[in-house]
Amino acid sequence: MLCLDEKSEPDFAQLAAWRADTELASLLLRSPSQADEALTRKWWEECRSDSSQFTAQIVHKTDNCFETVGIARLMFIDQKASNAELGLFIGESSERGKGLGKKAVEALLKIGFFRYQLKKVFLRVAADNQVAMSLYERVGFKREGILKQHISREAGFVDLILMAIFVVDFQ
Amino acid sequence: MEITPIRYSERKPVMRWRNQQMDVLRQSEPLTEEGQDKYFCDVVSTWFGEEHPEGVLFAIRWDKRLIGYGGLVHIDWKNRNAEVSFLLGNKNVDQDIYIDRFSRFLELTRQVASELALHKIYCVGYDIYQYRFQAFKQSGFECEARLRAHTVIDRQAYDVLIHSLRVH
Repeated sequence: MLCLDEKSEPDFAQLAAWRADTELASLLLRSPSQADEALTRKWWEECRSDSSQFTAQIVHKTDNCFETVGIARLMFIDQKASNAELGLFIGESSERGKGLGKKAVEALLKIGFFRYQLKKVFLRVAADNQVAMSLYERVGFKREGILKQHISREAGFVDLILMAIFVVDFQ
Repeated sequence: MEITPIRYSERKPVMRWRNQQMDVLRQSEPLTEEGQDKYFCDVVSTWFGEEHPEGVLFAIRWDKRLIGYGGLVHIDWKNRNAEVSFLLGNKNVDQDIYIDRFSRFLELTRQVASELALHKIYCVGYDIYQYRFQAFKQSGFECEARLRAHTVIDRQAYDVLIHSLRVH
């Protein structure tokens, strides 16, 4: 079972390590963070106190064990336009490919659509991240644009895919 | 048309124009004089001394008269792209004049982006003043995204379009 924990504090050492992970940062379209535990705590607190964001830990429950496996966020929550950008990651590479990401996206969409009354949730994903794109399509996201050669990789530029889902299309 | 790096003394007309045209800008609250002073001191002025600034802003002049401002913002040095920003002070300007000034500005901005060795520039616009998109066509920009019902102006939902141009 999976849930989004928006109350408790994360393990900041673990969170700092995830945010510094080069491979993960590349998937998330940003540079690896240099932040230590204290700065990571500050980042977390800023996210949590920002009313235009929803930030929570992705917690995986197995038997009597609770394990934080990643972070889920709604960003740039725009009450006027009723939309927000979705972003999340599964921090431990060993936990990826188990369906946790899909469950986390669905849980996050429920919060966006039903708590925040959003009409639309959008996201950005690099075209070389086929796993994530496939996951988003299975949840119901549709492509709204392709920004060609928008992301720089070692091997050259790759496209950036813009996807979105409307509340009416969310089952 | 002439563009020059924006100056502190130009902050007030910029604030006035932005407050008059909030409906077509990503700005939810009117700018205040205090906030605008702080933005120019703490943000804009620092860009001029940096090797990799987050933005570069220019005052736009026509016949030596200040008519607008714009530049490159959200410069992403890692991915070598940036967003084009453009605002004419007179929001009721004739459509043909708007297209002409915007096209000229896009060409100047392309040259700036080229100087900065950027790979790509793009512009985010609301699908409310469709004539404005003609400037993109004239300047070689391509529409790469249509974000459906992505913004609300006067309680009406509008699409947001992203036009891009590869510089290098």
